[in-house]
Amino acid sequence: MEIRKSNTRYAKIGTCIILIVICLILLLCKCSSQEDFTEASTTSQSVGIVSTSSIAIPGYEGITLKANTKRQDVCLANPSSNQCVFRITLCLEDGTILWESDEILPGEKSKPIKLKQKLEEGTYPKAKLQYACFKMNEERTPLNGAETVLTLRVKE
Amino acid sequence: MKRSIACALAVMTMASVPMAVYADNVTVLTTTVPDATYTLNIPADQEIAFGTTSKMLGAVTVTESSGFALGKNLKVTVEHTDFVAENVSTTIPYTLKGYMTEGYISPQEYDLSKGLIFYGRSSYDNLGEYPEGEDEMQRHDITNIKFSAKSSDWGRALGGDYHSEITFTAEVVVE
Repeated sequence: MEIRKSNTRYAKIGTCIILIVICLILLLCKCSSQEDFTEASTTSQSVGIVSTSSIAIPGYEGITLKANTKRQDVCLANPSSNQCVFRITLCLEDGTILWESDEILPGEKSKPIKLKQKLEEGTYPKAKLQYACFKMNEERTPLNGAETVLTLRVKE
Repeated sequence: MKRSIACALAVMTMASVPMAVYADNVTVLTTTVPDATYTLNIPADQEIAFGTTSKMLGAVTVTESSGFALGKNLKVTVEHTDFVAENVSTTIPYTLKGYMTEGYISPQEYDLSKGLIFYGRSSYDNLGEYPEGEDEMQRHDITNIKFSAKSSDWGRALGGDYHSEITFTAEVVVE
């Protein structure tokens, strides 16, 4: 009789433990799904509205470069709001190409500019930054492009 | 000889004194004007259906601008190539015009060869409204770029996949 009573008690305790464990598991699952939701909404808020119908082109009245050296500190960016790849070319007013970038993905910057030729100290007006834009597909289908006219200020 | 040398030295000494005085009275001021910056937003691309004679391609806008002011503006010109196709001899020409509806009873078309002018405001701030009295056609709020092509040009084009590119050129200009 006493053995039966103790067996029953152990059974009840075991059942309670199992139920508690199940409840804890369910609670943990619910909490993790809420975190995922919060993270997703935060991510969507930080990205903002992404439009595939327009391209944002950064423009500058001028940029400063270092004289008598090909290696520069300037990097050019592709805004994160874009849905296209940039290829940027820097050239002088007479069409001389100074630098061509690799592909720049949205949200990324180019490597520091390395000029094809050194520039002497001075001001170079009506230089151009030519933005060639491409779809982010395998074929890299061309999109509309842009040019920004700017002044290069080359200093020691 | 000695007297000549002495006189010459005296004259040179006298001549250097006014220059020193002049240098002391000169104050040199320096300043650096920051370069203007901006973001030019252009239409990305559009599928133009065969035979389309008129279609809106999207607006050209300028955002996140700084360093502009009254008299310091941004001029945007628009150039395009005709539709061409690989290994096809025909091309399909078309025109682009600015198309405005805001503030007008009937829509207004604007010749893009003049360029779009985005005017600086009186504060050293973002680009804004055009000055009073200026040509109203040169506004910052061109609502759309309008594509127009002739049906006859579509008709005489040989079959193929055609493409065209539009290039927008922006330059900071002063009046």
